Amino acid sequence: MASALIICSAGVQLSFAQTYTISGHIADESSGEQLMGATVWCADQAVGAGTNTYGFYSLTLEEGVYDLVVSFIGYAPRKFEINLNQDIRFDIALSPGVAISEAVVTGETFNRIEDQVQMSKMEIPIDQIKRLPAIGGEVDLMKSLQLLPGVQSGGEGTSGLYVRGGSPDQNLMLLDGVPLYSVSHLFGFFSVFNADAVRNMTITKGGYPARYGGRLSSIVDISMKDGNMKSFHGTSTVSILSSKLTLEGPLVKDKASFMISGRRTYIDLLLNPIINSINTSDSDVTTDPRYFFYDFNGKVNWKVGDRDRLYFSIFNGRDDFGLASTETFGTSSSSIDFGLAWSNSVAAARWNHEWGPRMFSNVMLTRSQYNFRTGVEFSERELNADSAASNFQFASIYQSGIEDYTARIDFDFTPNPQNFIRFGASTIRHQFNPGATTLQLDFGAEFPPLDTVLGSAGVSSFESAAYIEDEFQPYERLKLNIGLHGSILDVQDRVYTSLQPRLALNYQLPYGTAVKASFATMTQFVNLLTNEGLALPTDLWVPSTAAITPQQSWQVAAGLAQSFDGLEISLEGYYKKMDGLLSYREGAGFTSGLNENWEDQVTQGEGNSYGGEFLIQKKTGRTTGWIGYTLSWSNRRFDEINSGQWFPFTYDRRHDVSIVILHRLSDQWDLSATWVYGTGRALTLSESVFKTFIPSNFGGTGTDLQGFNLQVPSTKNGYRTSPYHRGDISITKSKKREHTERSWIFSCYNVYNNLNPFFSLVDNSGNGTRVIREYGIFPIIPSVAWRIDF
Amino acid sequence: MKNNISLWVGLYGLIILSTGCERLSEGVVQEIEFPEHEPRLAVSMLCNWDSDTLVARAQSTAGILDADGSQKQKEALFTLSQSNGSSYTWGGTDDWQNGVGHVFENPGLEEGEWTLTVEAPGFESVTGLQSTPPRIDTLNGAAYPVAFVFTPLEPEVDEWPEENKIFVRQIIEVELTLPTRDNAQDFFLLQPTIDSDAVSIEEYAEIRVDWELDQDPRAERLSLIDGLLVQEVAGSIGLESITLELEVEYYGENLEGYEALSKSLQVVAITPEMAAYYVSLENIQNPSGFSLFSEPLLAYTNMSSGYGCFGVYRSIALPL
Repeated sequence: MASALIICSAGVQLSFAQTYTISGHIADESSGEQLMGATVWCADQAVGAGTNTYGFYSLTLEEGVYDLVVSFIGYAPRKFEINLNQDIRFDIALSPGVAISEAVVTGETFNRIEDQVQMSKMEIPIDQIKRLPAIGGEVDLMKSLQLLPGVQSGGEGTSGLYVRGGSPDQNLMLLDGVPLYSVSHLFGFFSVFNADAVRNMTITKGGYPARYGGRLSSIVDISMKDGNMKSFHGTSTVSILSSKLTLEGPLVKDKASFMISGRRTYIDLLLNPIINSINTSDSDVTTDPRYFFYDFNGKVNWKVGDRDRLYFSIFNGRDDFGLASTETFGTSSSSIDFGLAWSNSVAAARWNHEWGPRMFSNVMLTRSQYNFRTGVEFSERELNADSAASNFQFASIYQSGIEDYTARIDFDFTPNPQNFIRFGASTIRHQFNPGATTLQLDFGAEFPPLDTVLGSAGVSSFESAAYIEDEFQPYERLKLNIGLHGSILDVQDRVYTSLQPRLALNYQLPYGTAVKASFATMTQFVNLLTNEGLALPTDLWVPSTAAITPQQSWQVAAGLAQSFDGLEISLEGYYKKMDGLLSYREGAGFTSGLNENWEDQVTQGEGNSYGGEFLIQKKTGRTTGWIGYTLSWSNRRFDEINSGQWFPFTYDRRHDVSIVILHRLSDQWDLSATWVYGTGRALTLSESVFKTFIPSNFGGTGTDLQGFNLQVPSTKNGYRTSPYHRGDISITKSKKREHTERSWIFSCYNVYNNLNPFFSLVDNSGNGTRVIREYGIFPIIPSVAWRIDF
Repeated sequence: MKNNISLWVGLYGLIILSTGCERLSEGVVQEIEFPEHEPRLAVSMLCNWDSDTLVARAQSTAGILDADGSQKQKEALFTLSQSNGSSYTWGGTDDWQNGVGHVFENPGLEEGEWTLTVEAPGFESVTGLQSTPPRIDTLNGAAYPVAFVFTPLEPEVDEWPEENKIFVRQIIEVELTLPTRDNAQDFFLLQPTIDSDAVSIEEYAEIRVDWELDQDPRAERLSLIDGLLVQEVAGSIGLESITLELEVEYYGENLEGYEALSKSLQVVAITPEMAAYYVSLENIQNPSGFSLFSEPLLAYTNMSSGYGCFGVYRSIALPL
């Protein structure tokens, strides 16, 4: 496959006369921030080039004089005339702001939806995300992705992503190229991504180019801001849940910059005075609840020379939830402390190098770590009559985690206008700690203390990958992206290999409509063990092992795309087949058998998902937004679940609708509104009861029977909760002064107060019969936030 | 602009206040509508094939919302039949014994494959299939033999003179070799028993499998019977040399009283279906983790109605 690609590329290149290349970076004029996805368009030749993640572009043309248009959404486009008689390095700066001439260049711009070979890839500009309504005034990147077709939320208010029938572990969450394993704060109600620190976010749901691998369902690629190269700036937001501060500026003007951003919730600070006032009613008991989360992003980038650039970025986030209680009674006292904490930390060093006008490389060394810890500690102390103290202490601490070290190199190579080749390789060392419990017992001096660790042993593995892809145009109306991704896993003396072909095509119909199709196979070597219906940090990251085979999938998609006067319309259909899916066996869970190996509690199976997605999106003008609709099916089958029969996935959602409108009322007032509708979640409920009798004493006559009342569940996920629908609205008032812009953001979550189901319980009704009730937890929630940019 | 927005916000607040208070206070979205449950027969017949009495029970199933629950079916008729034409029927109100079930006295049935058919007024008839396990024996040359070595350790005796009682604790080491067949799966239940009826109300006697049991993958603890389920597992060498410790406790008058107690280890050969039923009931009744975090569990069944079990066992008591 690789040699075929090279031959193909060479063949195309040989057919050209003398060519030269114009290359460089495209950046924001005011901040120096590199612009990813900006385009350089040569109307004479009807060819163009887009910038990569680092703002680098490379456009190769035959010798001649050309008019070039450089554009990017939200920026005023610029036109240049160039005499291309040698390779030219040309850095371009664009000014933010909607340009009057935007309509003029609309027809000439490159990278419209019908021009892109890549399908199933979507992006919401960060500026739009910041204007969307937010629960508690806290803007959330993951929740904004849930508004896109094919992407669903896990439950009311939660930030988990279920993409085209996949589970959350099948999403590769990249922060500056580094995988993050847990992206949730506050038990999943918020994601760890601070919008003020983020420059760009894209999601790819299918048709994956060969440069991506390692997950079955989506790639969420988030880039942190590089930091302002020109002048010092900051942003601070105060909402009812948290506050955040972002500072950025030059370390050396136009050479090096920094960006730091921190966020902390103050739920604990708000609740503690209330708890303390309750505590005063009983002086013998004190209760000390705690909950907080924080996250911190930092980045430094340095232009070492014209051709080299270094980036160092870090992320650290932590949640800590717990309850401590102390009770005194006479001469004795006891205390208990229950806690649940999880944390992420990421560090990355990257080196960009331009090998010439046609080749760009990025080398990356990264570390990513996720830890989870929960447990209870109990101690009791009693003073005897002779004032001697007797102590009893017990502690049970459960910990799990994963730590990755990654080295990766990527090359972009543009030999001619028709070919854009990417290739690279990576290797990851995974270290998994899939759940271990530390037990400590101390009964005092008379008994020997116990201090032992139960549970699964750690597992380390090496995952390596290499890829090559070529985006080329064999005919005027046809563009192709063909690639091959190979990966290999070495774990527990077993080696898994996988070759994953990728194909995407774009065929332009005469009226400008693009017909797109793609095929991609993916392999995943890490798994998240989770109990369906609960999205908790207790979910366990486990590796493929000698006994657990990797997850694999293939996905085929086809669709139409076209843009009309600022409107982009796309229609896609897809079918995805998954194998090697991992699930707890019936009756198992993360708390089952503390000394059991997790591999004994799981079963592997298969799944499929299929459906259609429609999106109409308006990206420019005073009114922007989109309407998305998804019709989908997603099913699972495991030998040891549901008697081996197929069943609907928990998040199988037949209909999913989202409407997003953002409107600029005036220079001071912005209005945004969203409305979402989704079919109810599939769930398993106890459906019937019966009484059974079994011998309990085999030494008797056989007539000594023991009776049980058993509740019998429905078929797996045989029921549906009520459909989900909700409207949100947000109004922002901004006031610009000489050096600052201050904004009041008024949001209302669930604006028409529709209680959506969050959990279900069997309960007694008023007339003595039993009923099953759905409960909602989020009514209408108004909120206000204040923001200052300086 | 400002006045317009204030007007709209005020109007909206009034609407929410007038319509939303009740929902906010209760938090209930709706009650899920269940389809009408069609009652079926749930059959429990787990019987010792060598016993003088076979007991079967038939209950109706009930919907989860039905407050009356599962009801016994005294009019149920049970038929055991073989392909060679042998057929035995019992049941109805005549064979019903309160607190026991439908009793089939002195059956004297042959070994082999049996079909149980259950009929009751108002219900679809139900069937289940079982093959009897071989008779287990300790005799040399037996077709399905169990071999054992019991090693009682010296009892630890604590005297409680103020109560005129003693407390005895004794460990009995057990080594068992259970039979296996080439063409069938072999499952056994091990249950230690003690004649607790022989002690007075002021005394106490108990026997149990020691919790410090070696981690032999062939043995799985079943709390339902205070014993073990033993089966072959991949990589094990049959069911040879299964070792365990039994722990006996006695609180009573004297050591003679302890030594006079009848103690035994019941070795029960069961069918795969009966083993699967016990395991599923064990997991339902005694989940090893917090059930909120566990996947829902279905009880195993080999009855055509989808409820209950027809299981057969044969046992032998090994005196300790």
